[in-house]
Amino acid sequence: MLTTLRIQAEDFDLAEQYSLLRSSSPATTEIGAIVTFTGLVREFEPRSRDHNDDGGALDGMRLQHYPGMTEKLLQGIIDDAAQRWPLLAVTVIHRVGHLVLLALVVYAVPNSLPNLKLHCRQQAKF
Amino acid sequence: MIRLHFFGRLSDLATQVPSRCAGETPHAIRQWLAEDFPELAVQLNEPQVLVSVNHCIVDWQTPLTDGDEVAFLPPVTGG
Repeated sequence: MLTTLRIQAEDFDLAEQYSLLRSSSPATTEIGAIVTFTGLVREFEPRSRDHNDDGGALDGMRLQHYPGMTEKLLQGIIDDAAQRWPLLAVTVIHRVGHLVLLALVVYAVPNSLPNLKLHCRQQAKF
Repeated sequence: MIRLHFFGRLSDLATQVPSRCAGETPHAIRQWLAEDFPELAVQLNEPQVLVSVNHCIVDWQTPLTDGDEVAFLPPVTGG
């Protein structure tokens, strides 16, 4: 299985990642589906859309991570998914640092057989 | 010596904590921290706080050996 796992502060382009995955998969003729999951920065509670505890609307968040452990835990999720489904390739990109509202946080792509796509989507929780 | 790391709001309370210390378990280190950093200790005693040793979540009574890396992790939410 081709695996790409990145922790980064920089933004990234969803279409570019999709194309990269599709073109670099080892068995392109066997791909039945590409399922994606994209996480965004959002208000945690609906009532906080206008005001947070400091009296202002949320404009972003700072996401701290523990180098070494973050990669280990994400790799564990990928390994777990690979045990459950016959994945051909997986790309996971997780951003860290200061992220503005609606910024991309997580991009996960389990590339699998078509009858598994719904299950992958349901299980892709980060 | 044991290397210490604090994350999230715990790091704000641990700015004066030495980066290395002695200790037989994470629990023992937490007790040692309570002597000089009571505010931090209160937070560390919150049941949602997790501790890791060498990048693995462990029990607070896990035995430590020289060179281990201990990290105190605050509750994380999201989704």
